[in-house]
Amino acid sequence: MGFDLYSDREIAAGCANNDRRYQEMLYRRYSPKMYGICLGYAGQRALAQDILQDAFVKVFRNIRQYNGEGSLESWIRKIVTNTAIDSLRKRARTEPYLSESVPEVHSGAVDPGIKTLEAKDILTQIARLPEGARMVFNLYALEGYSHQEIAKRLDISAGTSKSQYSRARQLLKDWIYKQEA
Amino acid sequence: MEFDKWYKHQIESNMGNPPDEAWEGVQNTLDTDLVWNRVVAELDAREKSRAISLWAAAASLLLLIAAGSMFYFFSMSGDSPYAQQPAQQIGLPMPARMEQISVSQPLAGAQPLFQRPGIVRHDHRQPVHDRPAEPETSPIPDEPGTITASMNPLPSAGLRSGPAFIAEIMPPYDRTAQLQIIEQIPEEDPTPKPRFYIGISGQLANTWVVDGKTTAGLRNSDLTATRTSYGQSAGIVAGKMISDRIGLQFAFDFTSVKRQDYMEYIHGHYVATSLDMDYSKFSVLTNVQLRPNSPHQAVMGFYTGYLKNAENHIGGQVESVNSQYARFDYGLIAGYEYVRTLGDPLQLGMGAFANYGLPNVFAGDENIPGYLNKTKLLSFHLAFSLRYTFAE
Repeated sequence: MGFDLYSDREIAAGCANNDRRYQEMLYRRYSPKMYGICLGYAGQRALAQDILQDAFVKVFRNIRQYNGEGSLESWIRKIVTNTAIDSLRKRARTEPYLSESVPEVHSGAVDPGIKTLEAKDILTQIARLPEGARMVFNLYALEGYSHQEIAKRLDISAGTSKSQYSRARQLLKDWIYKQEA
Repeated sequence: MEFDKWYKHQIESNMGNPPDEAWEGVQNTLDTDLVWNRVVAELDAREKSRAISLWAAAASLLLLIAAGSMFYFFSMSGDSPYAQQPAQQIGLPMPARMEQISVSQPLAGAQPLFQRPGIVRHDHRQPVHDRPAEPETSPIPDEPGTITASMNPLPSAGLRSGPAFIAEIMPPYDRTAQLQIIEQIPEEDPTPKPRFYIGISGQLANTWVVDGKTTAGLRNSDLTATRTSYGQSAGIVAGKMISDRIGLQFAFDFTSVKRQDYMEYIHGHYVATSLDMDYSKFSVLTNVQLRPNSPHQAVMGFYTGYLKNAENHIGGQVESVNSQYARFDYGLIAGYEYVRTLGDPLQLGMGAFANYGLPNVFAGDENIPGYLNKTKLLSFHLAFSLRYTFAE
């Protein structure tokens, strides 16, 4: 494809002109990392795919708003994260947003495309986390948000954010270490 | 924190590529966006175009009314020769142009007008500013057979509007006194005379193929857009005045094109399409002058047309649809015509007419029966004709 030869600015300019070639370059360049982030939030492949798809549509629709300040990756990542949170919030209308219970792991939640054992295991364990706790953990560990920012973003208290993060982190560590053992 | 870093690294680096369906989904959505943007842009453009068309139609109508009013009021005023009152109405030979007036037969026993004291005979061809001062009224008392009115200098130009002036100098009691008209120049009488004429005619028309598609296309919400369409006609015209005010006119148009243009959404693109119907048309019209000897005429009549060819134009492609339309159409004509004499024996006719077809011209096809797509033809014409007249 050769899209590495193009700078982010060139690709963004091409996308602003609705040039499908540049849009595909941008997608190919950033979709793997963004897909991982979506998996981290969604915990399952189908939902992650939907989130990724919606997020990139928003990227292409709003690419003219990218003014070149900051990296294009950060700008895309922000859109992906917001899309993931909005998507999970919509799901929360029918499910408890911050559930105390730990759901059972569904067999279909494991992405068959994951090559490494570690990643497959991590995803399995992520899928077992309650959605709210998973979101707090991802915002803290992946995006580097503070608990105050997470609290504001998710409309919860900072204490709830801290407790959810600690609980998710502990569960993940326990499950992963148990799996390794 | 080491666990968090390890987790972040695993998530961002080792989760693999997304499935291809994700990119296909993105493309599909972007394609839909593109199409929708085109549709919205087209609808916006159509909205603007429609507004412009409405304003243009309103302006044209106002212009037409203003022009008609102007013609009408000019014909009523003294500025136009049409409105001159015939001199015969006051019992005098009609002067077309007076250069000199003299009293040929003085009344018996009466002193000649210009020999009376206080009355100065003028050479009326003399410029006004060269004439000596003169009394405003005659110093002698009024008596039968004499002119009692003032004898102001006769401006030669003013004599054209004869009746008022002639009444002023005319003996009030004796009509035997004659005003001799010297050097009469026949004046053009532009009013249509009862005579036969033949000529050529041409028409520009705003045409409408009135059916479900056309009416739906007038709504902003419909993807198909109906566009203002124009056709043309050319043919010959002949007629005859059958009374002072009523004439009979026959017109045969070799070609009379009815057209309807659309913008249609076909396979993701807006494409210009049109339905062209070419008729040969024969019309019988009755012309009624709005006033006696007026060039303004109301026109009513009917027409019948024979469909020579019907075509659908889609983009650059042409499809014959002869079989879908009836061979014959007929309908009513109403309108207005102004006939101007250009100089004997030529006349120019200008008019505005509306044609309304009565029958359903859609014959149907293998998919749609005719009665399910009733189609009528409506058109508004601006007509011009050049006529050669024959005096009877």
